[in-house]
Amino acid sequence: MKIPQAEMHSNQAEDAELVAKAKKDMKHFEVLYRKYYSQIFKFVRKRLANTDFVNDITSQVFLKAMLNIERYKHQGFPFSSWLYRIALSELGDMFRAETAERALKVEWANSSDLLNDLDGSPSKIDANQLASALNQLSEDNLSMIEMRYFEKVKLKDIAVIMDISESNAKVKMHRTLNKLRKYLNEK
Amino acid sequence: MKRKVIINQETPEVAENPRDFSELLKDYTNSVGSAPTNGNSAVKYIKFITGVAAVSVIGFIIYNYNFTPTLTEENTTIQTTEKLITENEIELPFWEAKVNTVEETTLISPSGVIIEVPEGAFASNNNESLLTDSITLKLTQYDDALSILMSQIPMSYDSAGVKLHFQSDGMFNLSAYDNNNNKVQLKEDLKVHYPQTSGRTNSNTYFLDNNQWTYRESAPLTFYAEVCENTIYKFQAEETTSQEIPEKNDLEKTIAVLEKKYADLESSKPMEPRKQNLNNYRFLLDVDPTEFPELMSFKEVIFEVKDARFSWSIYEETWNDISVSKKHKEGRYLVTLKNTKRVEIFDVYPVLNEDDFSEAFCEYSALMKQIEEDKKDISKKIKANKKREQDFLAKLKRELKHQEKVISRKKIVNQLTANLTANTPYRSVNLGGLGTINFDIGLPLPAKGMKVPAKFYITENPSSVLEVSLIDLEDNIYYSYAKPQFAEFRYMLGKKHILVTVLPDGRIAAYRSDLNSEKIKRGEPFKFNLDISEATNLDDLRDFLGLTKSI
Repeated sequence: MKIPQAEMHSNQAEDAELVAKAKKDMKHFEVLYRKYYSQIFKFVRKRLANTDFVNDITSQVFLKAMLNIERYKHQGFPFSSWLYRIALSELGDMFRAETAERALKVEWANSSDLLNDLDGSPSKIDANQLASALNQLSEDNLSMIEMRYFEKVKLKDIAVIMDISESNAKVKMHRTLNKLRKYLNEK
Repeated sequence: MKRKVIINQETPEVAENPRDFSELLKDYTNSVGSAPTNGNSAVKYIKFITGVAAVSVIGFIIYNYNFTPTLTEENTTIQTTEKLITENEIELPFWEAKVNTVEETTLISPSGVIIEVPEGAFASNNNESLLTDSITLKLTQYDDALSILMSQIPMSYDSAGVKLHFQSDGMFNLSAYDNNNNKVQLKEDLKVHYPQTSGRTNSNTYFLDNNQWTYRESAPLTFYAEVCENTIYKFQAEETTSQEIPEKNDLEKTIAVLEKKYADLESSKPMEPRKQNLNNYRFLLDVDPTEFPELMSFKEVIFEVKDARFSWSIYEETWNDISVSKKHKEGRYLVTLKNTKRVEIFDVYPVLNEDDFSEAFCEYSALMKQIEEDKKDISKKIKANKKREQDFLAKLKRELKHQEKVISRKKIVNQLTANLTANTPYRSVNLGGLGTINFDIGLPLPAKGMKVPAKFYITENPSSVLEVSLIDLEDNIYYSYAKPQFAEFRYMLGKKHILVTVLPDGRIAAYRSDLNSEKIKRGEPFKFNLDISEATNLDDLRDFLGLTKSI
C-alpha cells in the first residue's frame, strides 16, 4: 500500500477553499470526505489486525477532522497530511487503550530499500528477523519506518504528518535505523 | 501494546463502505452540542491538537517553507555520535514557580521577568474547567545566540510572502503544568513584562503559532522603574487606602454591653395581668416585691388555684407555714402549705380583681411597648456593630495577606541577580495563550556588506549543509541563508558574528573567522569549511562557537 504522492500534493488551493467553505457550513466537507476517504481507509486498514471496523474508524477520523476544522490552518501542506495525522493519533489512542490490535505487516518484497539502508541483504536477514526487530520499535518509530519504506512516503511528508520539522524527522529516522540495526544484531 | 505480526500476507480485502455523509454530519452536530461538557472525542482531540502545537514549538525549520531543497535525504549521509550535544537533545536552563491559581499573583524571575497572574487564570487542557489547585509556571528565556540556536525556534518570519530575519530584543517561552504534570491552558490573560536585550524603540511582538511566527502588536519600550510603579508598587498603594475602622476590642466591648442590655430588657418584662375568675378557688398572700419584681404592678396579689386537688377543706385547715415559689413555666407559681400533719403544694397564678385589672393592663401594655422599642433599637445597634466587626476582621485578614505579599515581593526584588536598574528597558505583552513570544523587528538579508558567493560544506559530506545562519552578535540578528541563497551571501567583515548550521542529524557545525586564516575577498567565491562540534555540554558548545557566557 502506498500513500499516493500525487494525491497528497493535489490541488491544495482547491482544498483550502473547501476547508474555508466547510468552516462556514459543514455540509461542504462532504467533498473532502469523498475525495480522501479511500486514502485514509487504506492507511487505517494497513495498521489493523482485525479489519472489521476499518470503515468505522475511518469515519471517526473524518468526524474528528470536522470537529476540529476550525483549528486547521493551511500552511502550505496538503490537507490530506492533516487527515493522516489525525488517523495516526486515533489509531495510537486505540492501540494504547487496546481497543484495537496493531498489525505489523512486513512485506518482504518491499523491504529491499530498508535492508539496504540497514546495510543488510536478504541473505543475511530473513523476514522473521526483520519482523521481530520491527516489533521492538516504539509506535512512533514503527510508523516512520512503515511510511518511509513500505508506503514510500517522502521524509518531508512524514515530517508534516508527524508534525515535526524535516530535520527532526531525519534525525528520528536515523536513530530508528540505528535501533533496528541493534535489534537485528542482538539476534 | 499488543501487536500482531503478519509476514508476506496480503492485507485482507475489506470493502470500502463509507458512512453516508448525512449520518456523519448528524454525529458532528450532536458532538458539537455536547463537546463542552463531556469527555467525548472532540475534547480528546483538542488535547491532541494542543500536544501537537507544543511539539511544533520546538520544531526547527531547516528550510524556509517556500524553499524546496535541491538535496534529498537519500544523498545525505548521517553519521552521528550519540554522546555529542545536538540541537535536539538539550534542555535549556529554565525558571519555575508554583502559582496558587485562586489568587492574583505577581511573579518576578531572578532575571527580572515580571509576570502578572490574575485570579483564576488557568484551566485544564482537556475540558477547560477552571483550576483551583496550584500549578507550575515554567519560563524559558532565549536571549542570546546560544540559547536561541539550541531552542530550535525558527528566527525568520514570513511577512506577506517576504522572508524577514529577526533582530531579537528577547524571546521567551511560558508553559504551565498541573500537579500531574499535564499541560494547562490560560483562562485569563497573563501580563508579562520582559527585560530587553537592547533599548531599540521599534520592536514588535510575535507569537509562535504552529512553528510559524504571527505578528501580534508593536511593543512600546518602557523601563524597569515604570514597570515596578505599575505592578509591584501600585499593588501596595491600592491596598493601603483603608477606611477608618474602630479597633476590634472597642467593637467587642460595645457589642457585649448592648447584648447585656438586651438580655436585661428581656428579663425585666412584666407579667401580663390576668383578671380573677370568681368561680375558681383564690387566696390573698403578702409577697415580697423585691423577690418577685414582676408582681410589682399588682396592688394586692391574689393567687388563683389551678389544681383539681384543691377543695374548700383547705381553707378550713390550719397551716403553720405558707410560702410561694416560682415555677419554671412563666407566670406560674407554687404555693406550699405546711402544718404538723402534712405538706401540700398547689399550682397557682396571680390575678387581679375587676377594678385593678384595667389600670394594670394599661400600665403593662405601655411598659411592654417601651421594652419592645428599646429591644429593637439595641438589636439594630448590635447588628450594625457586628457588621463593622466582620468588615474589620476581613480587612485585617486582607491587610495581613497583603503584608505577606509585599514582604515576599520585596524579598524577590532584592534577590534579583540581573543587573536591573531603573532605566533597564522593558516591554510588556498580554498573553492570551501560553507559548513563545518574541520581541523583534524583521529585517531582510543584508543588502550592504561584502558580497561573497559562498559554498558552505563539512568535510565528511560536502553537500549536507542546506542552510546557514549568520548571527550578528553585536546587534543580535539571525540571518538565515538557505542553499539557493548562498550565492547572495554577504560576509560581515569587521563585525562580531558566527556562521552556524544544524546538520540533518542534529549536530552543530560552525565557521569561525577568528580561527581561519584564509582571506575572504569581495566578489570572489569562497568555500567555508564548517567544523563539526564535538561538544557534549553547553559550556563546550559555547567555547566551540566562541561565545561569551550569558545564560
